[in-house]
Amino acid sequence: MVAVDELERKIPVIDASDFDRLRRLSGVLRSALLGKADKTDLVLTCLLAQGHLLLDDLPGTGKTTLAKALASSLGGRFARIQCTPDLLPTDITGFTLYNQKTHEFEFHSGPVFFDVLLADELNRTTPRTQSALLEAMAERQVTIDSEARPLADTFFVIATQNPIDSHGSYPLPEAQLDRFSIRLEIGYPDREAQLAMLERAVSETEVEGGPQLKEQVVMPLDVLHRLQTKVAMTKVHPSVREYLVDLVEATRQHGSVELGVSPRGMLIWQRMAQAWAVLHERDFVSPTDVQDVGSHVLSVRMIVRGGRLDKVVQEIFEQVPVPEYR
Amino acid sequence: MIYEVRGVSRNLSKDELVRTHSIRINTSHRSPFVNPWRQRKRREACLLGMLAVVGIYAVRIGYEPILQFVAELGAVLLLLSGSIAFFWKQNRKALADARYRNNESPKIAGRLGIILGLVCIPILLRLAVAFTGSAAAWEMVWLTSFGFAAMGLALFGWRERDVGLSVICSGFLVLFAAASADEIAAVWCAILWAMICLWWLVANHWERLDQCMSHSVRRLPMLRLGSMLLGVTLALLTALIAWGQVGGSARLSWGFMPTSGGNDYGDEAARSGVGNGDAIVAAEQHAATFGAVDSNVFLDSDQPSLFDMFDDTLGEPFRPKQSERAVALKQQETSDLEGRPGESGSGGQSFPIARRKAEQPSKAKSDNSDVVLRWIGPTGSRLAMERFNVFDGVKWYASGTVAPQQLEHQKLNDRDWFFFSGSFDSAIHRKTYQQAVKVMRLKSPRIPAPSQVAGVSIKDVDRSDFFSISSDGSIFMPGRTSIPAQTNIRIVSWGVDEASLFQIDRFSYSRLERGDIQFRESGDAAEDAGPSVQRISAGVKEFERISRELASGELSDWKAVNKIVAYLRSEFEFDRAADCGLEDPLNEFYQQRRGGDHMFATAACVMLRALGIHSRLTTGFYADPDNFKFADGETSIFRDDAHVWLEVNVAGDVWIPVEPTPGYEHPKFNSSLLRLASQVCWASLPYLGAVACLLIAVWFSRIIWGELVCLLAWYLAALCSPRLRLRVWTKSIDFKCRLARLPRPMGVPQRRWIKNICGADKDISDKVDACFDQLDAIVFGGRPSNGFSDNKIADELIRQLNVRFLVKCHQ
Repeated sequence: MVAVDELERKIPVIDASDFDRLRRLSGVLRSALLGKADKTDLVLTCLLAQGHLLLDDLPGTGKTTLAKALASSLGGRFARIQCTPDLLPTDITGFTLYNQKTHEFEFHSGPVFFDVLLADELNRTTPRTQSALLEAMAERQVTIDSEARPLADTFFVIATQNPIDSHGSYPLPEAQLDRFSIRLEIGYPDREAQLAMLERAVSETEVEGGPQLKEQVVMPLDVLHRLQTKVAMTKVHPSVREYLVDLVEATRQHGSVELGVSPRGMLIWQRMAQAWAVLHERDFVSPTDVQDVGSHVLSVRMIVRGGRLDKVVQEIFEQVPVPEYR
Repeated sequence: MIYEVRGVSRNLSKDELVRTHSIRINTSHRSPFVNPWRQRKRREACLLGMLAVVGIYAVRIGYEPILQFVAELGAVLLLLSGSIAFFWKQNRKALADARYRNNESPKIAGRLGIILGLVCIPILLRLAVAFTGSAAAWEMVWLTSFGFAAMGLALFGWRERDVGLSVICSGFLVLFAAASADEIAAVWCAILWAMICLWWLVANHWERLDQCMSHSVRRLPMLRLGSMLLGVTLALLTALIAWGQVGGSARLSWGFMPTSGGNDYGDEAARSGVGNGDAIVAAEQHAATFGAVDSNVFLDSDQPSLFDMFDDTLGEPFRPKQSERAVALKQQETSDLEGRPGESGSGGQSFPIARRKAEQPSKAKSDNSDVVLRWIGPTGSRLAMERFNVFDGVKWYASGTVAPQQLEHQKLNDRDWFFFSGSFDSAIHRKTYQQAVKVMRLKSPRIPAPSQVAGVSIKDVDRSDFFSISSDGSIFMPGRTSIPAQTNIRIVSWGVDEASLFQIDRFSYSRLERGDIQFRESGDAAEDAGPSVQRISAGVKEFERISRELASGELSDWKAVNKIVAYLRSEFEFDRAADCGLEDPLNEFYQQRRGGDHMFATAACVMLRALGIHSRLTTGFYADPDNFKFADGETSIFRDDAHVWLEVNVAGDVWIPVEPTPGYEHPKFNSSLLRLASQVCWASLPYLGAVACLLIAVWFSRIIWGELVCLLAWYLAALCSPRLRLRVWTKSIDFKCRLARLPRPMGVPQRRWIKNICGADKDISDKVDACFDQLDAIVFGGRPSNGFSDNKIADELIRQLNVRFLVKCHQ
């Protein structure tokens, strides 16, 4: 009983205005990335689940726009790193510099200490730099000169990869890919969205940077943090939990799967499903939530022999029975 | 009650009204609405209860003191008027004192008290009457109490469903009364009750419709009356059709009431239930009646009986040119055959087939006085007494064809057995069976035994000269007029392998002259009234002709026998009461196509002999499977089980029984499994066909049935827990998808699947979302499941998502 009471106390009080802010944030993202409501919802889910996002996309599809819109809506600081082969780990984490005036070492924080970090073309940089970032993502802290420096609570990384033109790139190893919650492909917008984009661009002054977003904080970081805690506390029914385990085991046993889902991947999957439920303003996870986020969670951490990954994922979902209503 | 609802409703708010009086109020109409039919419902239920009590009185009226009825009715009326007055007063008080109306409990206690009082009145009065020494029929008292309880519930029940309960109770009572009362009034009561109940149901239905959809229903007052009239007409039509089909006298013949003494299946001493017990009681009360009771006393004597058993069942033989002086018996003495010992003359006599029409005495099978034999062995067996092998066209004669045999004495297991080997053939007989027959009242020295008898044994009879074989092949006890009653005779008989009979192409007659088969020449073998004039009757000719037609192909003998038997069984009707005339009974039988079993046997003999197959007429008893008693493991053989059949000579002295009479089972042979299976298959072909047709029909209409089952399950589940109802709902939806050939893959959540099928329909899609949101919240979110039970959307969805709709959406 004590444990339950404690749990109850821990669950943050979410009032209607928090959900309202969530809806508004969703609206902002949708208007930033026209015609991609499903993708922006997933980005938001990833944010709520305290995960990180990997975008596999061509240049000019709105990755930066999305990241900027998110950062400005959160009222947090936004940083962008253009990953090149000569990028050093300290360019990301920051470094200490001897100040000759004060005769002291001063810490110059890198972009990881920002709230939203966009790492563009992550596969272009060296594995050394990649792993520095990925470590920071996993640990949520950076150790510089034997001093651990915590990152922001709501630290959120959007990394992008360019799937074409892979010359001179360093593909991310699987172990590091596992640290991303989901992999998304934004893709080109449909015809109507493109027309709307053009129409909107006529009235804008800035041509290249997309729509000028109003500099308005939709969801302060403390609200985001509260929602993230709420996500972590969202109820998962035992039957749904069993379903999740069944799915995970199915990924490991499927004939054409080389690498199935790791326990860490499974935990991320559950958190993503919880976040998806909260995004839909529910306080429990249904099997549908698990399926909705499933293919994106799986696509980042499964290696499939031969055939297409989405086909295998589809097969796995079809062969594992969903929990019955009983 | 009535007044209360009217009065209080002025003061009560709507919510209170709903709570206190469980009145359904349509939420779409906000005006305070008191059900005007409520009075009617109770009034009619009360009337139905009164009818039930009247019906029970119709059962009791002849047997109980009239004073008791008066007292009972008086007490009930007093209680009712007192309580109604009390409630009236209380109601006025309630109107005056607003506080009182909130206090519901004293009312319920009062109502319960009145109902209990009504229940107790008949019981208390009965106790009082019992003190005066009068006998008490307690089951009637309980039933009366039950009737008053029904009335009380209708008048004073405090819930809506009490009225329904009252109607069910009164319905049971009225049916009971109609089934068991002597008074015709009870039946009229039941009819009246059924009509009022029909009206009650019709009116209730319309009342509910009025409440639920007052705007969407067009009111047609004639429709209610029309549906009522239609119901009554249908009931009358059914009654007309059923008239005469259902025997009134058969009712309650199993005797289930405790005081009727049980039934004769369980207890032989029982009076066979209600109906037959009356006859015996009447016989006891009126000395002049010739009933079962005195017959037991007076008729069980050693005096020779005037009647031959076969004459009783088949009709008396026609004896021309014989006139003896005789005195006519009284009608009573001749018509009732109760308890007369069965007698069958000794061998060597004749068996005329020209008989007068047998009278069928109506008699109650009330006790064991009629049992002639008891048979422990397979039911449907034929126990032969006499055989006749010579036929002159009208009469059968026995001419000795079997050489006297010595019975072989053997001692087996401390019993003395007497075997004879003459009628054994190793090709036909494979197994032996032990059977037993107990002689109860049979006046004959002959031992009734199956055709394939091999040996007999009577306890402590160890001398072989106690048994002998008669000239026609029957075993008898020489030097006796009859076998003593209660004698147990054990019999060993051979089982016949039917397959071997099919293998024999032509039966051989090793010990018979061919002349014996030419029956017309052998007439002089008869001992009495020798047929000097050869009777070449038209009937004989006719049957011979048919026989040759039937067996025109190259049939083996046994196949020919089967064909002839099948012909007679299918073309002719068994009717012992049929009069076949006296001149040429066979011809008459042929013309009428109906007759007694002796006519069937004779016709079969004639037909077989025309083909050169030797056969003989056999008289004896038939162990009717209907008379088998599980408790004792034996079959009682009554006087009217006397039977005539024939035996076919297949080899040497081996005679196989053949049954040409429809209604009697074929003799049982040992058949190979394959043969049995094919027989069963052919016999059950029509049934299999019918079942197949039914299954096909069900298969093609499976969607309708499936929908119906789903809907029924959904409504029935309303009685169960909400959780179960939820499961029924989801399962039903899945089942409908399967019926529509759109089975949900196991990995797809139900919501997604249905939206996948009919997502185009916005209305349905919204409803599905609303429904599954609730379902998810209950099942995975741990919300209370009560909400789902009265989920209107779920109810609408389960109707809307029918198979046709799903298929249409999918296309």
